[in-house]
Amino acid sequence: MTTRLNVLVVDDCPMNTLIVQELLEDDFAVQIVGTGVDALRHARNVPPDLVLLDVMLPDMSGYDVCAALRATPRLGQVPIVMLSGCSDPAEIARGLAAGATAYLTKPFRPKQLTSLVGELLTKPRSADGVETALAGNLPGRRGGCGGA
Amino acid sequence: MQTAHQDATATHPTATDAPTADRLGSSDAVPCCGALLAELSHDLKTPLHGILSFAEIGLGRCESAPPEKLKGYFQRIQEAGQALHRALEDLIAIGKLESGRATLQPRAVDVATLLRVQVTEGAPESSERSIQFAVPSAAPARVWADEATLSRALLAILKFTLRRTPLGGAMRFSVDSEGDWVILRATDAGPPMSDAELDRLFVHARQSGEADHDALACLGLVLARAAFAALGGWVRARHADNGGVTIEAGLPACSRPHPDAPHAITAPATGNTA
Repeated sequence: MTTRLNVLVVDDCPMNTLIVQELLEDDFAVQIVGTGVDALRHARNVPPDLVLLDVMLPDMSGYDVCAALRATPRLGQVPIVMLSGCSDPAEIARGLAAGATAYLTKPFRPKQLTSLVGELLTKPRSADGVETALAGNLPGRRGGCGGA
Repeated sequence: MQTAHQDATATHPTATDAPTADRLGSSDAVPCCGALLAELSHDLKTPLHGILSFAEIGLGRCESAPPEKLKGYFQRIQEAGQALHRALEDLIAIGKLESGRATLQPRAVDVATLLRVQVTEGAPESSERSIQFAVPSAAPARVWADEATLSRALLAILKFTLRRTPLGGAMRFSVDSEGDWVILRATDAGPPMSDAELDRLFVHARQSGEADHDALACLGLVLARAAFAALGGWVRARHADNGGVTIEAGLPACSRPHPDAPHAITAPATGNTA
């Protein structure tokens, strides 16, 4: 029996977590937390293989959570996908500057998420663990459902 | 979003001893309709995302998923559709209240009773928190108000307080008669907010372009501001002693017959009343 990869979902909106859970739980071990503090605690205790991170959390910004995860040695290489309803280019740039690997805008299509997660979890990482090439392609990687 | 804010507490009849960090949900903070819509991405996109996602998931699995699973998808679509409906109804209500097109039926209403009804019927999830009520038992705190509009505004404040109070945390509500005003206070057990965040609560949806994480305001508070203004009152946010946030709202006390009662009145635009 193979061990399933861990996906940590950080979102306090039940509708969003239900969607992600429905899409990923057959293939991954999905853990859901609703606050930035819980996300950092959980990630440090059980380092995830990938993080899906909402921008708007009740206790801290998703950008701050992203930066804190990146600053944690064991978590520096973990792919982080930011999920947001905001498609403002400045916000996307802010997410990438905080260390996000990708930025997906809602509403995104289910296939976009599953493809992105699958790609990130199978993609070999660079020696320093930074997904630079991927990040460089990010403008084309956004959820981009027509102004979403 | 750039919005001019002016702290109007200095001119408010009950605000003479208010801390400087109080933030009034006044007409000064009313964004134009386009700006408001631009701020509402979370309130509108989240349910839309739910509808589209579960519809697509269901379509993709309709021939392979068991009936119970498919039923669950339909239920999610329904829930999301209802949430989107509520958001749109709130938007329409805000538009009517702020443009003076809302028809109000004022009558004497006990604020505490109405609040209790909202706690038990409008937000049953409140039972997962400790709730402290401090209301006068002898003399009801009555106001002249349109019951439906006031109920909606109270529910919006309750939902905000509820959302910021963690499971097991305590929410405090009080209703007091202070001079010619009835004052409602709702205090949460959430994290502190900065002055800037308080400033934006009544104009700022949760997910704005500026993405301030603590701007937990939602469409509901924008509605509450419009409703209280239309009823001749006001609403504001202030730092609470416990570190959380207190939403404070005032309405004219029902100490004398309302000049327009019992006839229907049309709400004046908020710019004239808040």
